[in-house]
Amino acid sequence: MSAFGRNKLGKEVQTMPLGQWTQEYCCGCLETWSEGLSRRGFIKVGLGGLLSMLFADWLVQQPLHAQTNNARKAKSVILLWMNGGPSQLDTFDPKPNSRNGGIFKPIKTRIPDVQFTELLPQLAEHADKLAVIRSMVSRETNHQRAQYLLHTGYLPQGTVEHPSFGAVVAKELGDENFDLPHFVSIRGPSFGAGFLGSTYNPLVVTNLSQPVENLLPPQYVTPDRLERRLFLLRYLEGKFADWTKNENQQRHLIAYNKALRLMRSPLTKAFNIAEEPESVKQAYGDNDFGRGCLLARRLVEAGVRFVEVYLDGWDTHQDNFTRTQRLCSILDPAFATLLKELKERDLLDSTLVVWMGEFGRTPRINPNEGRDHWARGFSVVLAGGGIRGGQVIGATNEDGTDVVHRPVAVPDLFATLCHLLGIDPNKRYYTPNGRPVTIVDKGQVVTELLG
Amino acid sequence: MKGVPRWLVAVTVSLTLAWVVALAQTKGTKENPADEQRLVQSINAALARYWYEHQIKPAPPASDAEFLRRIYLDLTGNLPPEEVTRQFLADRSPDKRRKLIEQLLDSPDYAKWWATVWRIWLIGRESQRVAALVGIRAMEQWLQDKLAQNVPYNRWVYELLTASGRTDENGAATFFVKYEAKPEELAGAVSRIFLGTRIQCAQCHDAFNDPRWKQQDFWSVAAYFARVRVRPVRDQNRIIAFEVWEAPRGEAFMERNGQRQMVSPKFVLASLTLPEEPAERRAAFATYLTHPQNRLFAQAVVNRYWAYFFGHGLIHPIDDFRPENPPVVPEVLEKLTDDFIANGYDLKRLIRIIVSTRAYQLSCQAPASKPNSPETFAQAQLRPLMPEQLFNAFLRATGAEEVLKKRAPRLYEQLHQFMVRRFVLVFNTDEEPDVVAFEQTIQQALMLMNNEQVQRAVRLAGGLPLFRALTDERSDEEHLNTLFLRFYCRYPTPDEQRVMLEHVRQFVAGTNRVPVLRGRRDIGLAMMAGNVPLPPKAQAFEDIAWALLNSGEFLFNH
Repeated sequence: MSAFGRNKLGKEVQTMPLGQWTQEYCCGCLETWSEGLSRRGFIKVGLGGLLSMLFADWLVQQPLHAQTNNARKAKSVILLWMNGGPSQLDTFDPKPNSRNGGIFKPIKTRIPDVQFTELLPQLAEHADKLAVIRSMVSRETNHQRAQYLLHTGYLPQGTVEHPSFGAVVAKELGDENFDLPHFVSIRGPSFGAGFLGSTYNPLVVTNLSQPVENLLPPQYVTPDRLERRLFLLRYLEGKFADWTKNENQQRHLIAYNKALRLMRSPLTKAFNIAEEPESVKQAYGDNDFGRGCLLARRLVEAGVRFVEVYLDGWDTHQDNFTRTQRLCSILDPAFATLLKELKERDLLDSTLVVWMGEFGRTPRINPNEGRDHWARGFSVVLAGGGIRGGQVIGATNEDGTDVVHRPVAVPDLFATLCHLLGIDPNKRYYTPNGRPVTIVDKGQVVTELLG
Repeated sequence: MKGVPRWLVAVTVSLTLAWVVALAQTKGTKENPADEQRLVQSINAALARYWYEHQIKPAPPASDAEFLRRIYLDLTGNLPPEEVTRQFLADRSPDKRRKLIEQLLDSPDYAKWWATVWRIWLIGRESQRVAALVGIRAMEQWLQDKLAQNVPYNRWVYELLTASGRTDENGAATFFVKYEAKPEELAGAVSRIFLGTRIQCAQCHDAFNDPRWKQQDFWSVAAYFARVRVRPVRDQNRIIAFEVWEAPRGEAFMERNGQRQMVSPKFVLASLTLPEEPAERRAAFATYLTHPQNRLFAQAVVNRYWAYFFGHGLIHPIDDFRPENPPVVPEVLEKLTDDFIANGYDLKRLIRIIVSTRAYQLSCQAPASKPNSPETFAQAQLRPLMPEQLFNAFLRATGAEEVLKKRAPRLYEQLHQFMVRRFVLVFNTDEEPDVVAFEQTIQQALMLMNNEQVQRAVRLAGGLPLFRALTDERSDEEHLNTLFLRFYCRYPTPDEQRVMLEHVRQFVAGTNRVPVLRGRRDIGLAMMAGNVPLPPKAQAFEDIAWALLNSGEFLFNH
């Protein structure tokens, strides 16, 4: 074929020594190559059965499904996403004896000999529940790419769109018959389900006073009218499905079925944070992040698998200290109250809480009283869900400029999260084109973190 | 000639010349129906053979209604207006489909819609980024000009890839802004978009998935883009455009075994007897890329267009041209490619040929108990409407377009902006990731079922037949026809008519009468604002409009 003029197939393929690039987050084309060209066929579903099931569903309320028992400890994840990249030196990794240390004083925590800065007084009191990784390392200091990396465990690469970890958890741990979406993102866009397909996309909550948009029709559409409408719709859909027998029509019906189930589910009251006592709301903080953390707790309680709460503004190239102080005054009470409430409600063991941003900030303070992007040693904090609290993993040097002990790479973090959730990090997914992609890109579990 | 200024003569002459040239061009594209017809027939024959050999029973031919809806959505990104549908269905002339294709391709709607399609293919939809925001409009305008004049594909791609200047003056330059003028991004993008070939893996190492590509190859392509530069143009502190230019110096470096190594440009993507190399790097690349000997360039766009019209490429996915991934029916791809090259990379001609094939004009009805899968091209597939198509169709079907454009153009513009953003956000699938099978989300379903703005338009659709009934006495059957023609581009079947009108009867019988507001000129607007209590009958039709809007037959192009 002339189109492939420069066909090198005849020549021997020269392979590189694996060690040279396996440590990089690569494109996964080695797997495709070694597996041959496996192509996943379309899944064929019997149409008649699906339709009758769907239509029955529209009328009959589904009983709530009991949580399945599992040996693993963690069943849900709450990700507190610090967008922009928070300063590790002004939060969980203070450097009081360095000129890089900044203006905040260190304070004692519940962990012997471990200090946070004075910006986190409440969290210091809960430090016995926390495992602080002070030695996260990555190479990526571009916001978009690093956000992708810390959400998916992979660097962006051409046409493969990796799923956000929330989507992976929703797919692996989510019960198909659950009324609510298993992946909820509060106040942030998060990252989508990528090649796993939009079924696992997050439900994005932008407005906390009306968390699920378009959940109910306008008031003039009475329940009786909605029934009439659905009757007409059912009639039209049935005819068209029968006529075309197309699987896209089935997918469309599945989405509508789920949407209707959500509209009618008693579980949606989990979204209604107004029900909470005033004292609880105050404890979380009268701001969207505080309310978001409260909503996250309610959703996890209702059985949602992955909730991401987004706190933006950490990209402090200027005025790092004022801005970090303001952000910590929001973060500290919300995070601490979340831990306290999860503990009180006996949910902490089954809920993994992760605090992180896309990277940290430079130890050096720039002329604008700011700190810039820094990925060579930043902090990630974990709690609950089988994590051994009250410890610090890894360390940076006196000036915070280098990791001197126990570096943890992004895939290692993801492998650990998988382990805690009982997900096989080596499980292979196939993109619609048949490219295999493992859940985690060759990470090692950080065993010290495990309880 | 006394009294006529010389400049006017010059202008007139040059305008006339331009007109003559333009005319000649259009003529060139319109003539030769005979050899187009021969090609269509040989494609039909090739596919028929393929179906026969694989024991595939093709779907029956598409009805006029199916064809009309499909061709309108494909060529103009919108549904036909109700009157057009009525006329087309009533038209008895045997060549009405051919005439319609011709007419749509000549309409400004074709160039406008395909400019959007190409913009999405070239730079995607990312709406948050400043770069894209500044350039999207300019780029669409640029594409629209090219497509309206039917400039040969190889010519405008050459212009695109060598574009310089400010994005607000030369929309083509936006292409380089999108990829931040990064050689490695551009190398991956141009290979994927224009050659259907993925070389991105070779950026970091010799590609394993496709052993043709070494790391060196990737960087020799990237080297062509090593001199592109982009900078923002500011007005005070606001970025108002970007400027793109090619610097006299600049090289590409690859990292290998921990060392940086300079790589010189080399066109490794196809085997060409290379013409003399132009001095400018991008010009050299564009020359080779669009060279008639580079058959892959033509094949890739032919396959891309085929995939657009069928929902599945002859080579699939469309960015995976590899010897190990041959076309489904090689003959079809080769014949179309030959014709495309021989006829001067004429995109309108390519479209005309594809949409005239028997395969394109098949029904979406399953021919037997089992449907034909997309790669057989033996049944029209259900293709989810693109967010932009869905929004256009929604406005037109409900009648919101007419009412708002006429009575409240500002409100229309606001609603348009708001809703397009919502639709793109909720329905967006980004430009072309590793093709995800269609999956509708809960949020999409909730939006269409319950969203306030959508509901307002549905109210309007319900009131529309009634609004007309104020001036003419039409029957309920006729009101129902209006809704079906607007949403589905067809008349209801007798069974549908029975079920729907039964609903109307029941609804009206069970509801108290509300006074009808006679003679209010702005009744349409008032209905949308929710200020007018709809009479029971209009409410009944509103429910029907709601059901039509939410049904698969509306939400898919089929």
